[in-house]
Amino acid sequence: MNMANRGQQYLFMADEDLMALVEGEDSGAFAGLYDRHSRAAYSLAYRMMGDRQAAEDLAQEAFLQVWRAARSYRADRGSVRTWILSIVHNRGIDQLRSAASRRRTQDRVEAVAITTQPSEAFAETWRNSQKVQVREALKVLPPEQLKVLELAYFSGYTHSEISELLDLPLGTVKGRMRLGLKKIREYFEDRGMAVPG
Amino acid sequence: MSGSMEDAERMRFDELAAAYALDALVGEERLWFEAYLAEHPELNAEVDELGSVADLLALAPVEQEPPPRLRRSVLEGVGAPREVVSESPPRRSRREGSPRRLLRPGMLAAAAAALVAVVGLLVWNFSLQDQNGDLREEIAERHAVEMQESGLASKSSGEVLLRGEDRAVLVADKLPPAPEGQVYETWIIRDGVPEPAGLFEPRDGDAATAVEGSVAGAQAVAVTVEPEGGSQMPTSDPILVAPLA
Repeated sequence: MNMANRGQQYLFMADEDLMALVEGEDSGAFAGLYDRHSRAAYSLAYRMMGDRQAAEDLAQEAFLQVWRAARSYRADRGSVRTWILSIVHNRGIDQLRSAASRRRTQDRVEAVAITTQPSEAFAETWRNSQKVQVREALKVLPPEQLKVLELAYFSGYTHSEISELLDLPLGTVKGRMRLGLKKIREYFEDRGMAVPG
Repeated sequence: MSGSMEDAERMRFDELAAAYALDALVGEERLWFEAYLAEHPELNAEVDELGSVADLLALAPVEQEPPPRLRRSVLEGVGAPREVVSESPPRRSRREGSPRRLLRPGMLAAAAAALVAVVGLLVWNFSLQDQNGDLREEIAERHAVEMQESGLASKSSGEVLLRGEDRAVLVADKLPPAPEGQVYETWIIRDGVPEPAGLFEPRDGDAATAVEGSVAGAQAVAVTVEPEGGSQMPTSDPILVAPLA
């Protein structure tokens, strides 16, 4: 099979099948996975790092880990996309928490707060139905719950740090985290939908 | 352990579970939580489910286009010999390896199978302004769902016109030609799974095409740009999306 046909073949393969080939060090299959998921991975990296160069570095590290750790992927534990994004997220959190220059100032919190206003965060065109549903689910959250979730997930703050940043009792932060996740789950359950993976 | 102490520990577990799912626990609290979880494996499912919900946040960021040099760098990087890595990811192995109880691992495979039935799909390529206009009039009384545009279609306007319970037609204006060697492909999204629903090319910016397949119960109709001949699964992000559910 020539390269062109092989490349065409990758386009017709499911993610899980591409992962199996990547495990066998098939770089063409890896390129196929990159093409499918790089936008989501880079978008998450950019959201976390807030800087294009840092986002590029993070996305690159994450994809190289996908290549190196392909054999640790288990299809029965979740989708390929979720796995790739979890790698981006975990590496991003590690970097944010280890950065000596990390900003812990009130303006950082306020900046996050601005981006979490529904009119801002959800004004962008929705790219696919899963993202539409996720963003719809987030819209049902009260702003104070969304802010706590975003500070934790995208900015890597611990619940104790969020408590200090927002000048809230720790119990309140825990409660908002719990209620926020619960409402997202209920959004999908109420509509008889599976949580996208 | 006394009952009251057990109750207190369970209460602490419940308080911390969401923070753990969000990776917002560190230090002693994280160690305590994981130790408690190890002692109570029946709670794993609850924690994993919370993790699945937290993972959804990864889909929320505004889309950013990765620069082409990133692709080059990544693909050049895989030319190097693999490092020896453990089965477990570097950190938070629970999250990266956690079961996704709400997931259906066979979804993509099912979609691929469905695709077989669609190979050779009739491409309804109304390349015509006049017919487009006629079609619009014909189904003007039908329910129309406005599409959300982005990317290549950011200056376009599209609608999905629902006809009866399961049929639909997609119309779009000001849609640029697909890039060289590529084509527009319509998808029906059902239960999160994209099903191919036909290829089309606009003429003079106008397109009207039947959505091939039933849209009954579908979540959305979407359009992506795919390599010539179409794809089994989307290889790019949708540029037009009409939420139906």
